[in-house]
Amino acid sequence: MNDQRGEFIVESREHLAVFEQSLLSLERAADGEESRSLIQRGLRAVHSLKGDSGFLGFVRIRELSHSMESLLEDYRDGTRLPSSAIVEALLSARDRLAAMVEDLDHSHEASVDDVVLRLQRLEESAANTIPLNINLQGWTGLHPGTSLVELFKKLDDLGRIEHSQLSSVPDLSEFSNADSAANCDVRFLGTLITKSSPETVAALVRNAETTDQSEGVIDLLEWQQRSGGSLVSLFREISEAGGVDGPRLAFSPSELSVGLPASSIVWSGRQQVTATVTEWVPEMRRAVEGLAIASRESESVVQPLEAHHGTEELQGTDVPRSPARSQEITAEKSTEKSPTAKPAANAENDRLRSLRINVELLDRLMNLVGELTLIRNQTQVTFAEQEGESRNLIQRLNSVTSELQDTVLQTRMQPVGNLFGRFPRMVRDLARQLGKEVDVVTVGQEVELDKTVLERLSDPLTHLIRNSIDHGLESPEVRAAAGKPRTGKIVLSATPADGQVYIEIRDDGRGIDPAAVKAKAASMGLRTEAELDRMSSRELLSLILLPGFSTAKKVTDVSGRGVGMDVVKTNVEELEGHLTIDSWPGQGTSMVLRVPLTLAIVPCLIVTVGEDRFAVPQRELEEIVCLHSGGKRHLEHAFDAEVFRLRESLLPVVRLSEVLARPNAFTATDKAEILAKHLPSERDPARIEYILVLRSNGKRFGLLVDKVQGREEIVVKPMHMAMRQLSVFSGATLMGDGRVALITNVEGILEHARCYATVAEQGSKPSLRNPHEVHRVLLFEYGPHEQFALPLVQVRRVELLEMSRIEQVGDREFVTIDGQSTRIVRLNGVMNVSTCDAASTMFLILPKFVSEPMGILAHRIIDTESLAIDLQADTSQPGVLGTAIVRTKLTLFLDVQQIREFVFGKPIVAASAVSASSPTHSESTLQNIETGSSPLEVNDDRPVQRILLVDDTSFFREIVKRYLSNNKVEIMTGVDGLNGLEMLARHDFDLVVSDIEMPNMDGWQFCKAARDKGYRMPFVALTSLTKAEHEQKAIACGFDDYEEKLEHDRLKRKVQLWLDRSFERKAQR
Amino acid sequence: MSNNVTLYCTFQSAGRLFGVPVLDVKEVTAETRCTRIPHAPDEVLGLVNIRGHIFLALNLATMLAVHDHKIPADGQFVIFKPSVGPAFGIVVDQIGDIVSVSNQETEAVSSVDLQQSNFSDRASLISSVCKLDDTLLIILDPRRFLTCVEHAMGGAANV
Repeated sequence: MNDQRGEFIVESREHLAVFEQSLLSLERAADGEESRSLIQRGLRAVHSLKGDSGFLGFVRIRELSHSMESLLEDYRDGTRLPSSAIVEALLSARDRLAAMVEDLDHSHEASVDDVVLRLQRLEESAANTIPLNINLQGWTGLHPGTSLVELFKKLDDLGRIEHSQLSSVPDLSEFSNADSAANCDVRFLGTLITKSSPETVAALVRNAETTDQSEGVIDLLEWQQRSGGSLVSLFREISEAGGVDGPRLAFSPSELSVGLPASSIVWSGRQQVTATVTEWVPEMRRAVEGLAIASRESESVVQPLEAHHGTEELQGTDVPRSPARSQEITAEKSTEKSPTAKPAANAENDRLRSLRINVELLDRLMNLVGELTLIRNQTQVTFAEQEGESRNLIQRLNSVTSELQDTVLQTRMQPVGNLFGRFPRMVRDLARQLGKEVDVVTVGQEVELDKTVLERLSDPLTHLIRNSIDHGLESPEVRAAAGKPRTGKIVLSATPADGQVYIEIRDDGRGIDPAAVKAKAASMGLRTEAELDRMSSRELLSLILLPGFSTAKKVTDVSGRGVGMDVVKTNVEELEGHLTIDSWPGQGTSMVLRVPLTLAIVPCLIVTVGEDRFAVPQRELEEIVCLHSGGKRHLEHAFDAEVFRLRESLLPVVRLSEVLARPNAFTATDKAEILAKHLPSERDPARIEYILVLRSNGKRFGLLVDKVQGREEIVVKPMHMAMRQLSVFSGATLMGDGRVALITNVEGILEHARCYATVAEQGSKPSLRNPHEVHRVLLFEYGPHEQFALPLVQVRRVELLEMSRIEQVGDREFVTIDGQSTRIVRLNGVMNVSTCDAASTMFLILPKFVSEPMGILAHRIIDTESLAIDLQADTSQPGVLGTAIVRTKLTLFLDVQQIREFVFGKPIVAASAVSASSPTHSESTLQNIETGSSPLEVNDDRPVQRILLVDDTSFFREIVKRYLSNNKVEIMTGVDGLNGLEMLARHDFDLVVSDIEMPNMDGWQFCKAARDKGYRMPFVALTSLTKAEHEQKAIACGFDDYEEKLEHDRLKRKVQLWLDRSFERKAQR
Repeated sequence: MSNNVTLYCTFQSAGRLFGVPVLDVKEVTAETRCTRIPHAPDEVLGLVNIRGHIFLALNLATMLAVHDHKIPADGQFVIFKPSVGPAFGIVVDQIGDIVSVSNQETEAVSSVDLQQSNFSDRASLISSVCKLDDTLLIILDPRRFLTCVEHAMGGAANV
């Protein structure tokens, strides 16, 4: 029994899916033939369901599916299409069925009466229902000589007549005699249900009807006495007959409280306004109850009655639709690309040739095949020596086993269409709910994915599509106003590429506005403003994946609670997939999910470290570099890690052996130990190692292993429960020799090694680098012997320069760049360094923050490098800030300002440059700034003044310190706001110069805190944030002045100005 | 056989005789070729492939805090049933007989002075001690093994 039930559930799900799909496709069926086949498919599905459930005794399911079948049955021939109301009802009935199927045990208890009733009513009205309201007198008048019997015979020929009655007929016996009824208005009311086309009936009825509609008057009491039927059915009939306006009951309401009046109650259409329509219904109900009709019956009957008055729902579903309804139909029109219908029809044929297999059985089959592979491998080893017969046998065993393995794997693959298939319905419902018009197009349904992957994709995809409809697509009105088609479009596509599948959800909606994301992220404090300022729009978009993020202005039922995208991200990452978002404001959004074809089989590289073998998933592998220790290319030390030069970019290298040897995540000590252990000088020249160049989450790094054994498709087995904590392994697998090998987790290794791949990585998270230590510099060569470095923040850009473009003016060289005559600086002319060989093209480094256009000539640009600056101050050479060892080479750090001074002489500051500075300056201070030349060298008899310089970057502290200090100024430094406060407490300062972006406590907070504590000395903000609003914020926080980093000339002047003021203030006191 | 008799699968490890309820044992095999798991605690020998299924092999001696014990080449792998814990077993020096012990012969471990023994910190692994004619049989509770390993891992992660 249990087996049968399980099978029933599985099959029912399938039937329900087929049923749903047929109905949905029906709305867009191209021709009668297609819709006929769709309806028949749906009918077959629901019929099988009815049969199965009946056989197994699930009566409720049988009952409901029977109603569905009989409702749809009327459309079997495909000449007419079910109305949208019917499709709607069938779909909701399907949902109820699905719920019952999933909960079989309780399906008996579930009541389906409401749905069945709804279906039945629809069914009744589904045929060509024509309300009859024939003025018999008029009819006979129109057709003189014909008897009424003929009329009824005609009507009877056309179809079934229900609810027939005559109104205002004093005596039925007079009916046959038309003449005797001539004086009174005799009407025949009823509903004609016919299978023939509406036109033929309409002709007859048109003939039958007279144009003027007179009021019908029914004496209820009399009617009841005569017919013996209940009033309820009368009213139902009346209302279903249609054509009666403003029905009223005429009696005194007060009489109701004491029971029904003895006098007659007269029902009339359009007569004696004693109550309005809305009042009428409750009154009516009371009347009905007064007639002692069982309460259950009154519930079930009166309620529909109420509804019908408002909407005429039961009538004319097929006959002309009201404008309101046809609009609704377009609104709910959700489409799917037409090919779906055809493959689906083919699938019907395919099903005949397919067999349902339990997944567990397949898994076992897979395991057995795995074992067979092992046996094959062992056999190969055992019989390797032998010639002849056995060798042939083994080769055949080999090929059969491989094929078997492939085939078993294929059994797990399923077309993406299985997953995509459920979305049109969802989109349709959602679009309706949200009042939007949406077309869905699905592409690439035949692409196959592993069953588990497919299952786990369902949730994230659902969520993304919901998002697209709710947030992405605009309402039809907005779309029309924006000049787009009213109907929005969602394209769902699957494309296989490089062993993975790309699933894209693209809409043509409003897109995501990076600015809105930014504002939201800032207001939520997810990132600091400074961080956000530096992000690219794609990075900004990726913020929406963070938990708690939603840019939707209002939360709807559908989405906007801000939990979803985070879940999507987690789900996708569990699948070892990746999600990227692109958006074009006003034009749409594209979300691309990249997932592996299967989780069970992964192409891997088998590597060894010492004795152990490991499998490295090939997904992340970019290339392999063979490293001969004796060769030219080797590992170098940079900061705290080993790096490898890979085509001019630096690749941080992690030694797998070290990762494996250290159970805990690397500390600084570990890193130092590793570096010490692998000194470049102590290399064994015979040793060959391999670097696997891997990419994980956009970070590129090298994994150093001893040997690469080859590539293998491995069957992934999950890691043992107790060992799940180990982040560096993601699972285990069996190798050909029967041993177990571990599968490495690239992400985990990177994390374990605390390798952040800061090198050559744009937009790496600033929080990850150590702000105290690391700085980015541009490394270049001029002459053959020296290596130079210039901080990247000081470089505007680097140009490739044709040497022929250089113009000579005396002994000076110029080139025109950006329309400016730019002075060329040859470093050997400034300092004592080697000269450069003549070359046809060279590089020109254009520095920032220099008052005169100049460019430094370079022979070769080596790279950019993130460095911990441990600068040896070197004042022996002009233009050199200091020296440090970078990449094992002595490197000269250039001082652009000094070079500028050397080339151009003392600075001349243009007035415009200064007037751009803080508006707080008075005219006199401006004067002061402009006229002062090198004010820090003033020689009055002032005491030595003390400046506190707070900056988190040691490199800047060093540069600024050098600029500002002289015999009259003493400079002390702090590394962040907190440190700055400590310094303030300990010493007296005449001036504070502070950076804004700092860890622990930033410049804003620092200044505020200092002001709160009552420190009154001038504060100058020194920062790379150059926006006007930052400047205003600085002033608001209590800074007196604001200056850009590296604007040394201006800084010098400002500092002097404030020192002067500070001195004056002290002197006054 | 009366109701209060239990069958134990016995084995030698680090010179002592241990036993686990025979109903907890799935199989005993001579396959002990392990793949070491780096970063795993010492108690874990590695992963063993038994006919296409991967089992976690624990070192019984290390589990019982005997650290410098070397498992002989002909050691045996005692695999427990899934009801005991997911896919794991212990590697022992030598497999012994199956002995039936009546419940009267066993003594709960609390009455044994564990402070004096080597096993103090792993006391929870031992459920009782049984006095056989010539030796003592230490009865282990295999259900505690994996928990013990997980603790060891948690400890390692916190260092």
